[in-house]
Amino acid sequence: MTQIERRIRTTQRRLSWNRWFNTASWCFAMGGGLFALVVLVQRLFDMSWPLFPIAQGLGAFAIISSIIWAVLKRDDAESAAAELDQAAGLKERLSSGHFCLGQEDPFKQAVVYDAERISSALSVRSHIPLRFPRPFGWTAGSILLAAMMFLITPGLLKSTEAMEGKPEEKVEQTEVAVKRRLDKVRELAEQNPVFEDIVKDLDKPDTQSGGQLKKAGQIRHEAIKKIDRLEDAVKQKRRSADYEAVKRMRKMFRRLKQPKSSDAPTQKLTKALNNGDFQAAKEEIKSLREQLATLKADGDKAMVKKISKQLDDLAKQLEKLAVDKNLAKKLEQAGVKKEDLKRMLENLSKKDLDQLKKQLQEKGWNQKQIQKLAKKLQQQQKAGSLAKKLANAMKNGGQSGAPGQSGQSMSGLSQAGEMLSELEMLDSEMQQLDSVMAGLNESKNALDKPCGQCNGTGKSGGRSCSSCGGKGSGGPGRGMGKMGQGRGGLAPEQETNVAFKVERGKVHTGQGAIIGQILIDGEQVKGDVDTSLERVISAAERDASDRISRDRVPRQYQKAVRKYFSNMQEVAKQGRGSDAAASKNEEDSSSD
Amino acid sequence: MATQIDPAVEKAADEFRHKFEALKREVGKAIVGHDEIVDGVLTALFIGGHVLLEGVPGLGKTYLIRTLADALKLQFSRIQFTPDLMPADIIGTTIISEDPASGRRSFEFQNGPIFAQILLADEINRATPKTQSALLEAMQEHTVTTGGTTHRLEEPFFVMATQNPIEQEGTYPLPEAQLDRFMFKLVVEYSSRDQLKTILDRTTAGYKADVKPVMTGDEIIGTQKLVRRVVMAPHVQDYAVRVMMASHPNGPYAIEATNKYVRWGASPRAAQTLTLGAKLNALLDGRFNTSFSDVQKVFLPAMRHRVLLNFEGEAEGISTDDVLREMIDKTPTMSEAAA
Repeated sequence: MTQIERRIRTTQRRLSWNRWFNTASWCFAMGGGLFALVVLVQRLFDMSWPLFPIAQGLGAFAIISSIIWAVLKRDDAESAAAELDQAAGLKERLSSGHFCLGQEDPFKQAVVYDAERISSALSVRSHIPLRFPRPFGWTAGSILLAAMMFLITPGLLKSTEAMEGKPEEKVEQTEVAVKRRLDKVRELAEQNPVFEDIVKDLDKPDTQSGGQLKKAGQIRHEAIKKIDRLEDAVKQKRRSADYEAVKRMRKMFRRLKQPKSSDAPTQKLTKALNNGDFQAAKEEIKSLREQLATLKADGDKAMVKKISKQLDDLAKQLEKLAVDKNLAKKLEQAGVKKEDLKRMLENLSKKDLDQLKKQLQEKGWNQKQIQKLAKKLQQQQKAGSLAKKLANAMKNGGQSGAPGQSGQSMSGLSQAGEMLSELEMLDSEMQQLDSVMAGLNESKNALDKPCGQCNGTGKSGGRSCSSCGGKGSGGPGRGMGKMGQGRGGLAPEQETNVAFKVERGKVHTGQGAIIGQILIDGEQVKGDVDTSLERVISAAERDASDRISRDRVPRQYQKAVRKYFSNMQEVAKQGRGSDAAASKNEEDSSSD
Repeated sequence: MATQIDPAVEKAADEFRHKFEALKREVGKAIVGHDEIVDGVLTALFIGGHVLLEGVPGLGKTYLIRTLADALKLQFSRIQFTPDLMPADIIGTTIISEDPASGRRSFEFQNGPIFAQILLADEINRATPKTQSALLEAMQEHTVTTGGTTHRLEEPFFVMATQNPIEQEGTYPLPEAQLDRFMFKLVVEYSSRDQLKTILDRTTAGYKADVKPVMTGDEIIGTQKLVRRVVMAPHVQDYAVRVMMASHPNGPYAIEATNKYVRWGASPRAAQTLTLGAKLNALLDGRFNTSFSDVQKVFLPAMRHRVLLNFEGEAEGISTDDVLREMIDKTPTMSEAAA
């Protein structure tokens, strides 16, 4: 192998490396871009593609394809020699020398000799360096993009619809969630027999679409409406006079005064009544009864008397509290007589109520005020009558100190105990209703704001939902923020008076500079034109054709010029035709 | 593997370079500056081509050719082209001659001024195309045909014409066929300040250039043969062909400017000129092979009279040289096929 060939081979190798670097760089850039695309699709459509094997495959493909390309596009000896010539500024000595290798011509041998002389002192490495791939920026960019796409969390690129799944799935999920909630509601209601008729409403078919709801929102909405109806019914029940009376009585009991001595036997009873704890009060009554029985058996008259007195005091307090002075005053002001008022508070008949309403109406009260007062009166009457009954029972209980009254006393305390037990039951019912109300509210909220991850089903991917802990609801929302800042805004637009005045300035205008001029050499020909238009146009067309053929007219205008003159020819022909017709007409008219 | 250069080849190449330098020195005794023009004229001389010199009056075009004729031991002839010049005035004519001894009369061809070795066609564009065309055969075949007889011109034969780019009134632009026969068209520019001073010193102080002949016709023919032996590798030749073909509008190698501004491109004679010019430049540079730069060096003088701009090119004030320079810039030295 000659020196020239060695140098050329080294050049070929180095050029191949450079080519491979560039090709590999491009391939990796494309691979990176492709991988970014794959990750994007995977993230968007939640595909279960194995990303790591795909990345490895793309990398391997980039390497293999770049190697194949570099081998296929390997520089041949001639071009490698020319490349080295150019890089080293050898003025094609090497490539010409390579061409002349093995030829007999003295000139060609001289070329070979010259090339060998130069190549012996030539360093290919310094002239053909291994270069950093030019498209490396693209490669780095695409790989970075792929990495960034890979780091994006799966849910971030999904649309809301995609997150929620397909409509059918969503409907199914919603049906499950709604059923779950309604079952809970039914469970709540079934615990209380008063809801029997209300619960039936839950099993009624949906009002929309004849029971065939197609959208998740509709199903949810319908369920919420059912719960709303149930809630209304519970509210209605909760507002009944009995419960309101219990409420009022609790208020009354709160105003009971404690006995002065701390060791008073009725102290615990008063305290229990103060706290509205009917059960404790009932127990205390029971205890008092037993105590009285024991004391009587023991013959402790002083203590019996003391208890009786305290019970009597308590009864008096209750009697006093049974009358709502404010209400009585209000009714008196409304014109209700004292005896009527007394009767009404003791036993409020429908007739009395109607009469009162009429009376108030006449006085100019509005319906709302009338209803409110009537309701208050009813509640007060009920509570007052209960309080009075309790007071009587207490009074009877307090009669135990009197001789021969032992049986009456015991029965009075028993009666008081029964009344308290009745109040306790009503209170318990009230609490139940409150609990049902709370349960209904929770169900409603859960249906209104389902968990984003499990759509209210409480399960995600076969497991308990990690977002809501299996509850299915999104949890209570955030409350109101701080007070907002009002907008200043722009001042309202107002029209203003506008007027225009036309004025002419005093300026002197001249002729101005000549910006274009065509000068025609020669004398002006005066007189009539004796050349026909057709001939003039033909001559002009010939001239134009000549210019076109001699390329004196720019190519892009040649077509337009031809068209112009052909149009002119047609115009001339038409003109000749009309002239002939006109002359014929003239001749005809003259002959006539 | 070649161990050394053939001494005969090396000697011939050295001798050529010396002769070239000597000739240039002799011309330089009379001509101040214009190195490129002198190089161009000498290049054409040594590759056997004709030269067209273009420049405004008074730049020394005629003087350059006359000086060159003085420096060469060749038969020189000058024709001043005028509108009334006839072909016979150039070629010669057949006259009746009488033998004094016998008194017999016969037709005899009287050689015209074309029968020389260096022909100066001064202001060639002043003669009519008919007269200009009288040179066609002589320039291409180095023969003259008249009255059915072909006369061979003595070798070497060079036509060195001058023309004035201004004063177009009463001139006849050279036809393309005529132009194509000129190997180079050299444009003579104004002299620089220093050159003008030297010119003034020489022409106004009684200086007379003592130009001595340094080369004979045979030596020139020998040199022409030597130049043709210089190696042109296929990829360099391919470049010469491609860069020449870049002047062909809508051709495979045409550049954008060609398609836009060129009406007619160069003929194969241009490629021949490029090749021979490159070979001579390589020899002058001490090489036995041509390079891309050798081709590029002769590209403008070899092509500028062979490429005809169209209306757009002329209207936009683009010169042929601008388009040609763009061809060199935009034609890659190594083609895709070669690479």
